[in-house]
Amino acid sequence: MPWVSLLVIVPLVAAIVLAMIPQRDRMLARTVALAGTGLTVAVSIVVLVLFDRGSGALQQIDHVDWITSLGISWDLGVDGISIWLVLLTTVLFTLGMIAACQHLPERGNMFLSLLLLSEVGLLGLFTSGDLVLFYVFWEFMLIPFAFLIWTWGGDNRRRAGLTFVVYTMVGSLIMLVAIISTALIARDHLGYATFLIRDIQGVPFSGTASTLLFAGFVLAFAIKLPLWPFHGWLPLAYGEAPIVVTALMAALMSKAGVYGLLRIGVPLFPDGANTLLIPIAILALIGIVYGSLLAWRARTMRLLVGYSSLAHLGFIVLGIMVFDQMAAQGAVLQMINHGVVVAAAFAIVMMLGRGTGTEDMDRLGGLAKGAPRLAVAFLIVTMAALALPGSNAFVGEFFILAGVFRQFAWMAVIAMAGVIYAAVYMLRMYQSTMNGPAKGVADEGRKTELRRGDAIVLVPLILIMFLIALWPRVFVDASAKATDQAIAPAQVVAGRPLIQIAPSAAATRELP
Amino acid sequence: MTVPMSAYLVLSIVLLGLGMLGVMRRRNPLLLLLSIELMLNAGNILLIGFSRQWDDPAGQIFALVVMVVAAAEVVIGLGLVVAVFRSRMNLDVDEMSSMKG
Amino acid sequence: MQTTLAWFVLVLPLLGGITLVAWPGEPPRAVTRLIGIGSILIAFALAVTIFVSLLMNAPDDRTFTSGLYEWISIGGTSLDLSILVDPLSVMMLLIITGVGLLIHLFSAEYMENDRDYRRFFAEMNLFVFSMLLLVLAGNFFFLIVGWGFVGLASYLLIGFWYERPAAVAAAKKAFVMNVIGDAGLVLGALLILRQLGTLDFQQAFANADQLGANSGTALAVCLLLFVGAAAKSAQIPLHTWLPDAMEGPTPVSALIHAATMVTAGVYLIVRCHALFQMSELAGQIIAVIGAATLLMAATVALQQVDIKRVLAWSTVSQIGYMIMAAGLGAYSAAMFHLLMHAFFKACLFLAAGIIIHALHDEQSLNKMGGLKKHLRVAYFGMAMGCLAIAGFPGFDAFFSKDDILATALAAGPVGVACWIIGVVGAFITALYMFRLLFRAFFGPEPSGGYAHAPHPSKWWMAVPVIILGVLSLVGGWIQVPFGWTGMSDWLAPVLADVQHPLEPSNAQVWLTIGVSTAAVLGGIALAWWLFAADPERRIRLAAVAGGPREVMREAYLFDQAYDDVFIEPGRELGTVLLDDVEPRGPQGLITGTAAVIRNTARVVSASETGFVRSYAFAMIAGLAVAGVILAIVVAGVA
Repeated sequence: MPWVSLLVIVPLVAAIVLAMIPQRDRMLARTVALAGTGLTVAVSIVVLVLFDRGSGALQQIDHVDWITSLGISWDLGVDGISIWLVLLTTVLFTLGMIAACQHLPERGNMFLSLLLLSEVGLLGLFTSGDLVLFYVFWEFMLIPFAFLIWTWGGDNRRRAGLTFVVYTMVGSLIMLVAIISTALIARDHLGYATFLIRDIQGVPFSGTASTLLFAGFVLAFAIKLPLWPFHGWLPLAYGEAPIVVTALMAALMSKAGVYGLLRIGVPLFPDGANTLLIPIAILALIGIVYGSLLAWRARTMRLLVGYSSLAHLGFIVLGIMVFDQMAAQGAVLQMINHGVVVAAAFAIVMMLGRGTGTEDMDRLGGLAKGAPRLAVAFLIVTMAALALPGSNAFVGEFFILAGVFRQFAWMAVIAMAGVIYAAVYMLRMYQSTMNGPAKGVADEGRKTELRRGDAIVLVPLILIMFLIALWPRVFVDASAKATDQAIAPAQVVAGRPLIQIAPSAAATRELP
Repeated sequence: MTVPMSAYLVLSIVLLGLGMLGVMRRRNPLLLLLSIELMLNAGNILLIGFSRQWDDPAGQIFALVVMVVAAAEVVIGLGLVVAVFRSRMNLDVDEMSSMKG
Repeated sequence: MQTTLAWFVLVLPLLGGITLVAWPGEPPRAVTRLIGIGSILIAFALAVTIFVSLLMNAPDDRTFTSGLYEWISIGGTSLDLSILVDPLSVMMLLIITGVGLLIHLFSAEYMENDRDYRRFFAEMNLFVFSMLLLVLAGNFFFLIVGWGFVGLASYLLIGFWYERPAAVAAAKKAFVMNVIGDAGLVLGALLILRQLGTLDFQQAFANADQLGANSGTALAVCLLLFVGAAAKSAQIPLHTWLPDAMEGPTPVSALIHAATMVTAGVYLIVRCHALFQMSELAGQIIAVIGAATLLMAATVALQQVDIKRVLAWSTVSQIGYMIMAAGLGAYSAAMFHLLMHAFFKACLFLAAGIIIHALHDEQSLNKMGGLKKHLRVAYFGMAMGCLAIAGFPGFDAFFSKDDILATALAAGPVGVACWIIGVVGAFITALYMFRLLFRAFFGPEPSGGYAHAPHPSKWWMAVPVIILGVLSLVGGWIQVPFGWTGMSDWLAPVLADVQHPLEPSNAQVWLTIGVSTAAVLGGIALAWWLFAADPERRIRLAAVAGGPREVMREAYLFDQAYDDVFIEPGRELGTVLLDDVEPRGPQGLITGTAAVIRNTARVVSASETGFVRSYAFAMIAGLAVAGVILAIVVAGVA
């Protein structure tokens, strides 16, 4: 049973069905949408159950030759890096669908249909084993998001949507050139035409070729992530999109860039990655500090969380680019952490915005009094967002920093500034809305209190956060092998030992 | 008496030149179409001449094709001219510049 | 068995807190008290059981570890969720649950009129859990987790009355400074991980010499860990959050800022002494900072008018003593003073709480006087506490402070300097504490009398104060010079690997006792002369040394300095980036690209004239050019 292909097919079918439903029948639209995402979650759980933790290679592969003369095929599979991303995607989309169904805008069936299409794109991206397929899904993912912004966004939505599309496309087109060049060089080396990632892995690209190709890919990833200074589309797109869309973009679409780095960039072009290590790391560090400063002074909650994403993604990129096992595994975990936390944060922004009519922090205050349950949930999310030791985000961050520190201590020290600032801006968001004297009407707080519909969205996210904080082993064990394999070539190029333990620890491992 | 090849060439070039002049200078769309026809026929003559010289029927066959295409194109062109005339009552190609930019 | 009990001790407050949070609606007061206080009571009972069972073991057999499960295995390192039960952690357990229990009892009545009764006890339970995690953790990672949770809990408790802007600001300040400490602590842990390959305490300490004695790495590790300690223990330069933290309810101040949280830094240094003794320079720096803090805080305390601020600065000062001792290597003395301080400081805060409660939230010394006849229990507690903290012979700090000072004398020239500062500090301590006592309890009542007659408190509040007062009196006798050495014996197994244990000579001990007693008596006498003998005298002398005293009152302007150097520029930079750089830079990248495309299009579209004839002309011209080229090519070929 081609479960992995079903991951892509089920939401696609649901999307098509939704598009054909008459606009007036909102109940039916809701049912179909929820059924679609629910089924997709079920399929992803099956894939998880069938997953083999002992192997680092791509598994459960569905392969169909497509254009044999060019070596393009339909090739989907999962491995340690993508399995949790797949689950994250299906779960977050389900929760997002629930949130969207509670406040369905005009032409709801099209809205939900487009959401499902973007799920198709993301799931396809995370499971592609073929470069052309990867590219197809990369572009596929873009269109529904653009339409969602364009049609249902805020006042400046036209400009936002256009900027988003054009900017991303520039990167994608460069990536297309890189893909084709890669395949051409690989064909010369291997003797047959192929776009399969696992076939191309191990092809020795020359130093210059490796660097140029890597740069081509990285540009596209950098725009998607976003990585400083390619983040110009972020405030517009995040700011103007409907809040559910913003949440999904921040939580999942950004991971596409990281995933690309880990799946294609670093494994296929270790020479290039090593050459560009320092520049990219510096951009990541700048992003951490810059993003944090902007988040601190942001005027709306949405942009605060959006800019904080810039900072958090800088951490993740840093974790990958230092080619250290601990940092890379921490980065993979942090991808999931960030996805969950940022989704929860935007959910809270949604609830606050809906209850009080504004997302401007200067106009809110003292809401905790009327909304104690929201205050508790908000506090938990705030603490996770600033990576309080003991939270899920801290686990990822700690090990990223541990690995980064091992390789380039100075980078870890600078990154710490991001940790400190995170406390400052997250507290600002929490305190200026929840604490202090109540601004405005006294029962404003009550309007924002968690209702059952809100709890259905928020509680699972918080539970996942606790799960990761208490049993990170479950997550790391599944992804460890694949991650190690992904960065191994780069480690070799950089001249680093594959596993680093100080001799003393190896000797004293037997102590009680 | 056989007609020398040069006659075909000269006639063709003259017709082509007249057609080009017409296209460049005429402002009436009908006369524009006429000039284009002239140029097409110039090409036809050339095709037939060389077909005769080299005993290759391909030229004459292609000339027939050209005539068909010319006819089709004239139909569309005249249709456009009639449509424009109906709405604007004027036949000056220079005035029809709304596709500018 | 001990470790199983320890797990229960750890988990009970957490369960209590969660139950209170999850309770639908507002539970009846009695239920809240039962859960909130009951969980700590049982935890304390279990802690005592562990203590007794350890006592019944031989001194060598008092260390146990227990790992609940393998929490993570990543990149070649694995971490268990593990706890370490040894004399040091059990001592902390007793303090946290014991003093915590007394304070919970006190709060039952103190917070009676507060709407958020349940939230208070939930947050207090959460705090106790966090602190227990911190001291029970068996590796650096979970120590840091406990560290972070304590920061969260203290944020919640300091900002308990969150509708007050002052409380909100104080909570934020405390939290951010804690995070700065966290950052230092994490970096220290990362360095340890890199050099020693493990985060587990026992493994790390066993291999501590791999850091290299007195190497740069050892210095870095120690100083980074100290950043964390300084933040939690409110030492220079991360001390400014503690006085502001007095915005929280008084029981919070008693628990967090007297007995437990602020002592976490001292605990850290003593726990990691194997690492700290690798760098002599680090120890000296730490000792000097402790000494400086001790002195500075004492002078500031002297100028404060708010009763809680006096006690807050006094805490900073007393912790300075502990840090100073830990830095010099007098670990047992530091822990001894920690225990004593827990007793008398909690006693002082709770007694102050009785006063504040009785005077309906009045905290200023200017509005107090002559309370001796109204509030007997508070007077008893305050008096015991003052005698204890000043170091009056026979009371608590007499033994612990002198233990520190005497050991300091044995620690080289830096130690001697610390001794001098410590003695001066003792004098000032006696002075400001008795100023507090005399101004509040002696002398005339404030003009106009009290608006409401101060009413004495019920047993909930009185009993804890009495118990703590008695402990302030007799607690010190467990470690007597030339006599019973209960404290150092108890901690001996933990400190077995101290390379150069400090043993003051008899002469040094007697010298210390003599000089410090003289300082104490002198301070009390001066306080009597200034504040009690003639209540008007201080008003007459108010103008003396006005300038320096103003600086002291404003805590040497640390807050303003931080604002000017760090906060305002940061804010400016952020705003500049947001408003100026963002639109021009990264967004400019997009609008610039868009503009380039638009302009190119504009230029290119100049050829789209709309004139059919010009198109025709262009076609013909192109054709002509092509024809010419073709002719040339053909001619060239032919």
